[in-house]
Amino acid sequence: MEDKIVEINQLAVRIAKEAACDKTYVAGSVEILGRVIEPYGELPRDAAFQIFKEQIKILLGAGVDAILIETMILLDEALIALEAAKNCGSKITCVSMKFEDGEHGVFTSYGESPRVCADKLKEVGAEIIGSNCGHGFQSRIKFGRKLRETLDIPILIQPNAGLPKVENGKLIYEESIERFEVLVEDLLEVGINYIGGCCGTTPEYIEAANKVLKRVNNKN
Amino acid sequence: MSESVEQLLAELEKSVINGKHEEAEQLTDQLLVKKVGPKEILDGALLKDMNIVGERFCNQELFIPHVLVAAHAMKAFMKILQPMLANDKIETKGKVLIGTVKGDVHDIGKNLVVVMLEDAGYKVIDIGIGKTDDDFLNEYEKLKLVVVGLSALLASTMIYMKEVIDVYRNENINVPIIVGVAQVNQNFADEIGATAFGKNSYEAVKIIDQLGR
Repeated sequence: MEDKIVEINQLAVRIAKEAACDKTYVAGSVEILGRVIEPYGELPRDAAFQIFKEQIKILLGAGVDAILIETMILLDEALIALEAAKNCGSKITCVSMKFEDGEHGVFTSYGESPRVCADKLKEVGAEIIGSNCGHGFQSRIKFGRKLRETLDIPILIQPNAGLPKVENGKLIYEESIERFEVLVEDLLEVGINYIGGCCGTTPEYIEAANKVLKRVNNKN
Repeated sequence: MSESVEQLLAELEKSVINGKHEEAEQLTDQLLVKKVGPKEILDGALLKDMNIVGERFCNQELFIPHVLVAAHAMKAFMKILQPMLANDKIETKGKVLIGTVKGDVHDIGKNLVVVMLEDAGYKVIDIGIGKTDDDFLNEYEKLKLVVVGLSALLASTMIYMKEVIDVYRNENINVPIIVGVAQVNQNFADEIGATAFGKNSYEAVKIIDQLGR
């Protein structure tokens, strides 16, 4: 697969742009490396930077409007990816972290709070800060509201459709489209600027979100 | 006044948890001078440490970096103590086969489980990432392990774990198979026919300990 990095990324952007029909922006997704960066692991920071840079350069070259760095579980890795995006000339870069809800609060797997992540990402130049993945819709409103209160830049939230079940050999997620509509309305109300879906959401979820958005806009 | 062995062990326990390697090494030296056996040091402080770190990791009081620091410290200590332990006949608790399934290249979680299992006394055969049902079966046939662990991060790949489990069961191999995935719960494990589900690396060790009994 490594020798197909250019082809895969270019093709993905082309498909997305065709679907967008110039009516909407297209963001190129950049995910975690899946390797542990120094000092906790063996991957040097510079090597991580070069890996991110390679993909981001291809995405920008293929014509994406923004870079969306997603599912980051370590702030430092997110910062390296953000630096790579800036280095490649990305004008809009969104960084979305994955947080765990626990007894003692909300943290990344490396123990960083949303506030610490948001402050640092903003300082380094993220235009949009967000959170994706997680265990479902529950708690996203409270989380979104809290983030909105402390941040003065656009916020993105992309939840999972809950946890999966297996039915007839296929994964079925527990959160319904109807519940997603309610969540979207609540997130808009607390002032979240961008809403999407992570694991388990389908084009139908996004379509439903779009309907809610139009309804809310018409009301206002 | 010189400290008692119990005090030194307690201090060693504390220094490893806090990542103070040099202090921990000095304390180990002092314990060895006092003719405390390496196995006693291991059981009295280091293994206790890994348990404490694991429990606090479960409770979200500690995070991945703390586990990695403690696990690395443990590895360094084992290098020092291993030659001395040769006479103590420390047997491994058993062999565990572990890998990330086909389509998935993520191994941070798997690697954490590997270090925690090794620290707990298991011999781990890590076959790496992107492994097919045949890979898992072939390795099992070669080694006859006590537990098989399957790892996946992505929603698109975790369903493949069912295929690996099915291939074992179709061959009438009833070895315990435990799964670890970021976004699942016990129900998922039950539905795909896994023996157990580990929420994190510490839980994985505890479950495998129970399965081995």
